[in-house]
Amino acid sequence: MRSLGFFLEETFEGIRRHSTSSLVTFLQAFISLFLLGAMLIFIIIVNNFVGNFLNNMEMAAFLDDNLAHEQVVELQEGILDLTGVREVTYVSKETAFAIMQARTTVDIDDLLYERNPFPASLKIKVTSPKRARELAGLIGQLEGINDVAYGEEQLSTILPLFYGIELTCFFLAIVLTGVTLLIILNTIRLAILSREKEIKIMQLVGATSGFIRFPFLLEGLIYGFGGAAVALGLLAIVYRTLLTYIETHYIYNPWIVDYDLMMGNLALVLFILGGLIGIIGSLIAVDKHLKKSDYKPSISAEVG
Amino acid sequence: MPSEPVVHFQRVSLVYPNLVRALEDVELEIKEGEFCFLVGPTGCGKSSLLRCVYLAERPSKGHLRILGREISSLAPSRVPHLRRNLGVVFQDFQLLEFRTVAENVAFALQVIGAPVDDIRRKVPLTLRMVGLEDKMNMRPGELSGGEQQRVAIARAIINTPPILLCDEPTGNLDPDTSRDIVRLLSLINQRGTTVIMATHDAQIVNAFKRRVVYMENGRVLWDRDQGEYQIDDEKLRLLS
Repeated sequence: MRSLGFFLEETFEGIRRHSTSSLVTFLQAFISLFLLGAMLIFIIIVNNFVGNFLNNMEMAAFLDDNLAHEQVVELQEGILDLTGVREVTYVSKETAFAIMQARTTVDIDDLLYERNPFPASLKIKVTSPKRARELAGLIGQLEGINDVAYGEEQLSTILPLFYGIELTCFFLAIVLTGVTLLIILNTIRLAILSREKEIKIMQLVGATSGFIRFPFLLEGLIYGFGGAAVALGLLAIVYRTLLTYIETHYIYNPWIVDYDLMMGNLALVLFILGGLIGIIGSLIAVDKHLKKSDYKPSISAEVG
Repeated sequence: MPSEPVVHFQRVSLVYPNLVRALEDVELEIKEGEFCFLVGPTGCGKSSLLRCVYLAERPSKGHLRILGREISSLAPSRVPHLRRNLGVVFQDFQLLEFRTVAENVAFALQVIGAPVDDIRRKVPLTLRMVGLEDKMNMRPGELSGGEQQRVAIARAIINTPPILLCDEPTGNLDPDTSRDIVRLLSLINQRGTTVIMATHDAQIVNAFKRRVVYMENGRVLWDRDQGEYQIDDEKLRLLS
């Protein structure tokens, strides 16, 4: 504890002495963590949107017009028993007609010469959209079912797009993290070089390696945590602005994540990532220097 | 029963990675409380011998014992702890320019985690001992060469090490200042600290009449107690 004051003094003295590279490193950490945070928000929202879409996705199993009520009930119960089916609702021909009428201003009763071509159907909600194709195949084979529609076109577009976005963001996150790590490593290396004399004296008077390392680890943490804190602050403003805009302009927005939940998740990720980048970058720089600067083993006297 | 030497070289050789043979079969014992000059021409191995003692180099061959500890089997993690028993003074002072005299001296205690109260008590006492108590708040750049070396000595002894190593401490100083520094080292020695001083200043060696160990080409050629020699000024050779 008594050394903590000394460590803090040494750390801030080091930052002050190479203030320009310290500032550059801090800015780099902030920019990287801000971009990472923005990507995370984007991924969470997209994830939510896709999840919402997939969870509300319905299959429609169109029924034979000649089915008796008991046969419909039997089909309904049979389909509900299938693994992956959450809910089955019967939609009569009349209800189907009414739904179509509601979607248009044209009097379709007149258009269709008072005939109702819309079949009765079973609206099926699934637990896992990934099983949609398989379930559609099973249900289509049941007697009394003429056809099954499950939005296969939308599914085959949205899922690959979603996975593509996630992969791109993951790749960008790795690149950003790597760049920030290298910059912190380089700044700590410069810090060590500027304090080489102090380090040499510390080694001479008997400071342990841990004691010598600690101020530089602290410095790395300051860059990481500091960058995370400022990035989080700015992301909070951005997200609050985005939420306000969406809530004002869109009545229905089920994919938006609650502000506190989003900020909680972001804070956790950014501070952990920032701290890790800071510590790892510092450790690598310090270890390399300590290994080459002190108590080198000489070679055997038998040589030469 | 004779006590174990504080520094004991037993057939120690040192070969640097560039194949330079810095020390060759060195046999040397230095007892507790001694004041020993290491003399010889430039490149004879004086600094390399001192570097072995303050654990900046590990001998390539032979055995080196410091304060009873065998260096060849010393774990790297134990090196800092053994160094706390050694004070080292260099020709170029090695002071920290951005710190005051007091801060330079305190640094040696801070980095080993000494209590703040201890530091506050010992720094002024040590500076008084080296005659710099009224220069505590000055920076090294504001001091003379002799004063800077006194600060370096203060930093080296503040932790009361049993051994003080001095590598050409008067190399950058004029003759009068050099004598003052060696007088200070003698005073420290009188208090019980073993002093080993490498120098090529024959005048100092002749003036202070201490044990002299003469080296050439990495070997100890001769070893004389005080009063048994006269060193030639120019050639650093034993005259008698």
